[in-house]
Amino acid sequence: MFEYIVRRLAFSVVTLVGMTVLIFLMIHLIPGDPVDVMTRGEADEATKQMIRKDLGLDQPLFLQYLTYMGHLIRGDLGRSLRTHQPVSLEVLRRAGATVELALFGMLISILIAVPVGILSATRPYSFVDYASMVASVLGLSMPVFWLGILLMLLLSIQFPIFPALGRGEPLFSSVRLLLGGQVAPLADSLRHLFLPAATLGFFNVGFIARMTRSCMLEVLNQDYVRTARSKGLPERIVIYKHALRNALIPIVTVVGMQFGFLLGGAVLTESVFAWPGLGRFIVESILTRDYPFIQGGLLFFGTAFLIVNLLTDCLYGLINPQVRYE
Amino acid sequence: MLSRSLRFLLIVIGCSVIAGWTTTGIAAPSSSVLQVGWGADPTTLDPAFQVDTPSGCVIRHVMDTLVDLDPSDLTVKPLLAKSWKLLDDKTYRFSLREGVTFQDGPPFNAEAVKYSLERYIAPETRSPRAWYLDCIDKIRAIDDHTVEISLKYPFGPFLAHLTYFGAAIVSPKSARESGLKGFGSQPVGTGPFRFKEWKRGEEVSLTRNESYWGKASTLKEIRFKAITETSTRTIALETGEIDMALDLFAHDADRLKKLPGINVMTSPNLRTVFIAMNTKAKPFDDPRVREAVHLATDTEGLVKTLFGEYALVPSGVMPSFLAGGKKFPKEYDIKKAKDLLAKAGYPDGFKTELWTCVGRYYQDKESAIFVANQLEKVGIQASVKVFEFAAYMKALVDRKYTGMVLGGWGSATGDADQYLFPNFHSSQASGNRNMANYSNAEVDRLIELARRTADRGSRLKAYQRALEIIEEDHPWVPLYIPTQVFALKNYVKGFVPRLNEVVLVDSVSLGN
Repeated sequence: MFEYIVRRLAFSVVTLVGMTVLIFLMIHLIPGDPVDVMTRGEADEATKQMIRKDLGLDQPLFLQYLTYMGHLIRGDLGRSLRTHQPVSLEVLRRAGATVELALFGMLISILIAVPVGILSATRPYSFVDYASMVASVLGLSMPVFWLGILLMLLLSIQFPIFPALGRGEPLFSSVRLLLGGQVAPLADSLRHLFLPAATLGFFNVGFIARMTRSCMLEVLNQDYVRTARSKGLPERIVIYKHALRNALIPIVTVVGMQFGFLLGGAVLTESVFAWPGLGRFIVESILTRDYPFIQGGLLFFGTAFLIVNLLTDCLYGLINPQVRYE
Repeated sequence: MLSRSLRFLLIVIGCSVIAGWTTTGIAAPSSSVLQVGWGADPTTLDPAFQVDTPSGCVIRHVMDTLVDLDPSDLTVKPLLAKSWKLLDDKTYRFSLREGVTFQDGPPFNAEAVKYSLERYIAPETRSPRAWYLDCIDKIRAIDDHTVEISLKYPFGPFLAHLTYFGAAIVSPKSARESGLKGFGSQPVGTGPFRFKEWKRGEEVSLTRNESYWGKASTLKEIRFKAITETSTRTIALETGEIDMALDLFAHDADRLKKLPGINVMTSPNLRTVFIAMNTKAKPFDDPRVREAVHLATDTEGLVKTLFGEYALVPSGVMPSFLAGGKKFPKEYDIKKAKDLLAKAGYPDGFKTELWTCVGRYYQDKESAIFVANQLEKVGIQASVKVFEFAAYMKALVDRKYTGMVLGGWGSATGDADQYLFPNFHSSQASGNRNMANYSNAEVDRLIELARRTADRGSRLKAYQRALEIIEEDHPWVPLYIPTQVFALKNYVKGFVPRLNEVVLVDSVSLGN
């Protein structure tokens, strides 16, 4: 298992290097000049050339790439062209916000979707089954943007339960404060998290519920389930201990993949709820051609996605002891 | 009775609702903290690098300029400079206010003015807007409270340019300590508020400067929150998470007007959104063609359809309420347009392109499409090409357009020169200036004349004459002057909107 992880990590590094080349080429090939954006096209050519020289943008692409990689190896992701702050700090801070949102979104999805899927599978073709599958499709097809605003209107204005926007206390620090005896910061974090996480989560409920339903249906028809039932085991044990465990692998795959996408694709939700996440800032930095930030941000997403994939694969081994990695 | 899964589901939902409800509800408005929601976060708080309005607005709360613009008539008023006189047509002597200190301690004096302005225009600073003050030749600190600025040439709009954000006076001590790269995140000045914290992309917070030289604000703290989605911004206003919402659009205004407890304010603007025709390329090098395009565009219809009451129909290339402005009637005559095109040799019209940005100005793309549709009636097939912001900037810098391009221009200084010179002087055809590549020797002469004198009367006359010539030449089709829309909670009092889009809230009070 250990060698497997090491090998996977080694391949991940290769993938990431390939990613940096692709990203670098892409951002330099699209039309638009960061210096024009920074100066709003108002500075004269001489000033712009000086700015380009300061930022190293006048070098040939190949040299720029090598310089970037040289710094990257030492952990220096450069400075944002817009804010002049170190990219690593900016990316990590916003990545924290995105990870929080993605985690909670996924949590909400799983907490709703898995029970719904099981419910549907244990009462196939019943009203409950049809109702929950229709609801899942609704979740899949509702535009995130629209749902977010709807939830805001309902749960921030009509029934003022949650704040409409923004991030509360970062979860990490509020958990730390909780251990110190303060509950209020954690409540603040959760209150701000709920609406955006629910918006994000609704979409995935559809995927996961349907996957759970079909996997469970398949498993519930197996012989060993019939054996377990005929042994007289309580239904609860049959479903959760015997059936679900065997149905989990495809579900875990979907969850893992979706989590990876959530990390990178929460842009719309982040925009609607003014959530200071990485997705939104990457979009802004693409619009302003903030090259170092684009590269740093996308590198983070790539790394996160690869790690999530690796963890998902390792999880298989835990769920199903028959899965072995050479 | 309920299955295990169903029970579990209900428990989960119940917990979440309770978790939300048990904590304190939406915060009641504080009597001394003003929360302002706008559409974009500042990019820097260093006046030398400011290029966008949010940055400028925050800068003007933390720092003062030597002189300021009166919000109602845009005349120059004293601020850090008590008074001034012209020693000759190129030399200004300013008498500075006494007893003013910077927020980091040292006193405000002539040396600080010299340092600030020189820092702004120094080539090493690479300020993109240093051209605002490139008329300055030398700055001398005569004594602690007297500073003398000599210009390279007589420059009429000089005082108006000193009201610009870039000319804000920075604390030399902090600027030297933070350096050019750091001051933008730690600004220090003499203004009514001091910088507290900046959560980039989220909010900037300022606290009241207790040692401010002027009238103290009743606000203890101001928080400027960046909320990019307008719907979210209006919802935040309703829930009370912000007290003021800026950068709103027509449809938001209509909805908000109907809600209790919210006051919608509007203010005209010095910005015009226009279509510039490339006067150096066929067929727009022929003034008859340009006049035809002008006549074929129903500006009133455009404003009514796309903006309702939230934009003005321009009466010329420059808003007439800017000093030196003049009202020109807008003609809409399709037949006349067709005749002109026929005379110019295009009886069946011609094909061209209309380049536009998207999202930079409210309804920019939609206006371009509207105009393109109208031009079809006279046979002009204008295909609309939409560019996102950076590509749009590049298109302007590269000047590859041969047809029409949509653009906008405002006057941050409230002076006609800052409107006419960059857009109609032949030397300015680069970047986002003089998009029409317009060149007229008489207009050049008049603009230069108005620049070279400080006599208000002769300046205004020169501008009016220049506008008359430009109006005959039709390098632009002015489309609309967007109205600024603000929504405030009823308890926010004393807000005065400004024509140059600068938002200053130091005079605001929260009366509960």
